[in-house]
Amino acid sequence: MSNVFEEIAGLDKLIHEPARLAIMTILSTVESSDFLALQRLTGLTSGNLSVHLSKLEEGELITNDKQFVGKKTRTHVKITEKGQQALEKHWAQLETFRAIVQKSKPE
Amino acid sequence: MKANFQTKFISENYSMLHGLKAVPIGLLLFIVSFWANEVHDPIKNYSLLIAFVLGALLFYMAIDRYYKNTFGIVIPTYSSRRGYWVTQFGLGLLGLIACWVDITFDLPISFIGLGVASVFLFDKPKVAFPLNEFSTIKLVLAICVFFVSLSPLFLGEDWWHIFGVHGTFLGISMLAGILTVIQGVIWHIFFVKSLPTTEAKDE
Repeated sequence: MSNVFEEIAGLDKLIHEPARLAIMTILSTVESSDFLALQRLTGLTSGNLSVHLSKLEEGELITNDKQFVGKKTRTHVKITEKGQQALEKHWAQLETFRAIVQKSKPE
Repeated sequence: MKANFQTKFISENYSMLHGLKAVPIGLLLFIVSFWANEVHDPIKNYSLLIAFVLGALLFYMAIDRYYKNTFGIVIPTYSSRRGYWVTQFGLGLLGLIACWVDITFDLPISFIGLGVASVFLFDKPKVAFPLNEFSTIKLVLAICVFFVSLSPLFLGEDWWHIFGVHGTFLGISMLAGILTVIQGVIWHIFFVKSLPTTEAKDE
């Protein structure tokens, strides 16, 4: 079990944080989403969402494309190939941990 | 936060769950059927019909703008978009065939009604909607339309006259219009309810 805990501690924290995991999960199912839709889908405030998107962008897991629509800016967010792979790896790791913990449960 | 599968489902079908977009379509269907029921051959003035279509188009554009400004824009993946348009094309084609059969042949069954009932029943994203009561409402609507489509078999061709409607085709079209409006409003309520109300937990 100790190995499992070590591995859990070694999870990618950039993705593992609940709000960012929600953002990445949403983006993995669509071509792109604008800022407002992400805010609606995650329930995050615009300040928090901006911070999380910046972190994900710094990690090159998403791209952020700002366009001017009239006087307003519209931000289109897309998951990158690296982001998609990182997310798949993360879910696979979580599944593995879950399976190991299930197996080691006392009868 | 919503469950992962639910978040995925809502984001995948985000624009398809914008139920109010069905309202102008349903209203147009109802009003046009109502208009067709009231006018007498030969029809000389189509200006009212054109006004209905333009009104519905403007109404649709206003609703689309409301969704964009209130809920944002999600662009589905290419495969989802293709699947959606193929389905729409297939349903449109089947609808046209059903209309042609209903108008051409004097059958005691409404094929367009059966088509509408099937759409209510098998419309995938909405049937699979994570909130169970929504599927129940769809099932009830589908059963209603199904029985109404078969009603001339049991009640005779002229039973629609009780409501002042000249025939099954127009009656079914009006009913489908009303149910589309009701269903659209219900979709919208469930769409709004399905969005998270509490913020995702931060670090």
